[in-house]
Amino acid sequence: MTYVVVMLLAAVVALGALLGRNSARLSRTERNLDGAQERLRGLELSFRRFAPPEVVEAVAELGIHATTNRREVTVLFADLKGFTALSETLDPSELVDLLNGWLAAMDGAIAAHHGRVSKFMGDGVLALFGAMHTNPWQARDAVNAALAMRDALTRYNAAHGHLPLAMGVGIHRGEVVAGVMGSERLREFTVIGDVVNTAARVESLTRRFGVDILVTGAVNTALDGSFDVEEMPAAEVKGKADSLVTWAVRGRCAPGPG
Amino acid sequence: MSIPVEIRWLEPLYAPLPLPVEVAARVQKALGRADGPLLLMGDMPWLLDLIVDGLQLPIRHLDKRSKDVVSVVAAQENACRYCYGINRAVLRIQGWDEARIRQIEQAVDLADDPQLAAVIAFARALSRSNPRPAGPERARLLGVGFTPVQVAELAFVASVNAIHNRVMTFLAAKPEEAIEAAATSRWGVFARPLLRMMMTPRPGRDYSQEERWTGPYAPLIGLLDGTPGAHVVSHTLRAAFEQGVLSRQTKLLTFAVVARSLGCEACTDEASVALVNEGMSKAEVDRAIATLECSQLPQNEQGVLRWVRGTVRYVPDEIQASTRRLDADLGRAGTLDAIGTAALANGMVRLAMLGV
Repeated sequence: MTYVVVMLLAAVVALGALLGRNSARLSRTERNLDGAQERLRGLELSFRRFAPPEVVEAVAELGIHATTNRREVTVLFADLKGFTALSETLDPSELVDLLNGWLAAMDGAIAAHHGRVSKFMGDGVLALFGAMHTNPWQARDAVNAALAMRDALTRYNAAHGHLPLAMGVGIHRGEVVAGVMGSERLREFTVIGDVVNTAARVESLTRRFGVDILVTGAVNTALDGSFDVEEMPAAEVKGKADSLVTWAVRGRCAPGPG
Repeated sequence: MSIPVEIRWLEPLYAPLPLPVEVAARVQKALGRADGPLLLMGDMPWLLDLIVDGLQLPIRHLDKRSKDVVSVVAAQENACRYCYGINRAVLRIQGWDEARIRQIEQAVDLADDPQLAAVIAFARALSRSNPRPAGPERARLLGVGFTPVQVAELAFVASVNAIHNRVMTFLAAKPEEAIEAAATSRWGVFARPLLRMMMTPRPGRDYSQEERWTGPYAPLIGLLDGTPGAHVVSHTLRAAFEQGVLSRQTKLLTFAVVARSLGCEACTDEASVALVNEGMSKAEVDRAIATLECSQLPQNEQGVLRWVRGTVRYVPDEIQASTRRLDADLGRAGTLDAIGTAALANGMVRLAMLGV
């Protein structure tokens, strides 16, 4: 009889210990899950700096293919002039420092005017205005950013002893397809469309015209005469049937009445 | 930390100032307290009233659960550290467990409750307004059983939260850690019934035709007919346009800039017409909205429009830093007036979705 009671008690104690251990394990697992969930949430919020929240959520819930849409954006394409020649005279590490310094300065100027760098492409920068949120001031923002980039480059050249860097900036506006694109290994939120190609072509015209900032008619009409611009001759560019008319941006006009 | 994400948040914009005795008594009677962030805005009475009215958030047709859920989702979307902590605490005090609150915040596992899912989706869409929600979102709410007047109150609650979240963010109001802690601590269980009672929605006043605001944005009042929100909107618009220190042109242009940013043509036109009635030409108005510059504004108000533009979508610590720069031009009274006007414009343009 005593033996049975002792065995029963031992079984109860063992069961209790087992339950207690499992309960502790469960609590630990719940805490870990909560922690993981918090980190994921933090990650999602962080990604909202790189893509609109709707896109981040759609990627999380539906996968990348459900996340493209058409929207009006202004595309700014900037490129260093004479970089290839410079790369032949500088040590590779000096070259990387030089390039990184320039890119950082350009990124700051673009972000200060509501733009977002979409890609760094060697010595080039592709920036978007109006891709994250509807932005009725996108054309002005892009031109203001280009002027800030010009100033930033002047300061950068003054602060460094190398050959003065020069750049060209082309700006165009129109409808693009925006979304998360890429392969299984590399994906990014970006835009595609003729607007991007045209901005790059406009940038290439800066060499031909000997100016640093050129905008298309689609951009110029949105500037309301508040920038000092000069119309350039129509020019043929690669990949375009019609010649392009562009305007060189000299600076800002003094504020007018009202 | 009682909220699940870290929101970068600066120190409060201003030092608290004691409220005048009679104001403190009135606020105490209305809210049961007259402290915390209210002390940051006592020297701009209409802004203080805006916050007090909004904290009471009178609703008559909408259920309390939907109101609380909209408030927490809006605070989360607007990344208002102060409001997010408070509104989360409110849900805990109302008896919601942490897991359910997480479901709301992440909008997951809501298949069993289509009304809740629709309310969350609507609150998110209206808070983001990228683009502003319209017919389809309203149809979804009607489809899950909300009546048109309840939808109007949902939009009202989300719009008032858009205002509150902005005021508290721009002021960098210090989070109410004591209330947040009371909502989750074991000892807080004794305080919760009292807090619950304090949080019971007031029925609000009926709207009376005699008080009707007939100035700019008066058509918005009609969108809330039959709800106490109509009185709040009417009273607030009157106070915003008749009180304060900023010029009326700056205030109207503030509304216009927010409306343009959120893509509301009717709201932009409403401000434009009012500005023309104030003596500006249509061309001057259009140019000011297009360029965010207007030489007709007083010198110290020249930078307001560029700041206002940043109040539509922002990163909290960045807009807080930019508000500090605005303060250098406007001083405390002017900045409080600008904060209230910009926040109100953001709320009103969102509310206007009911008219789309």
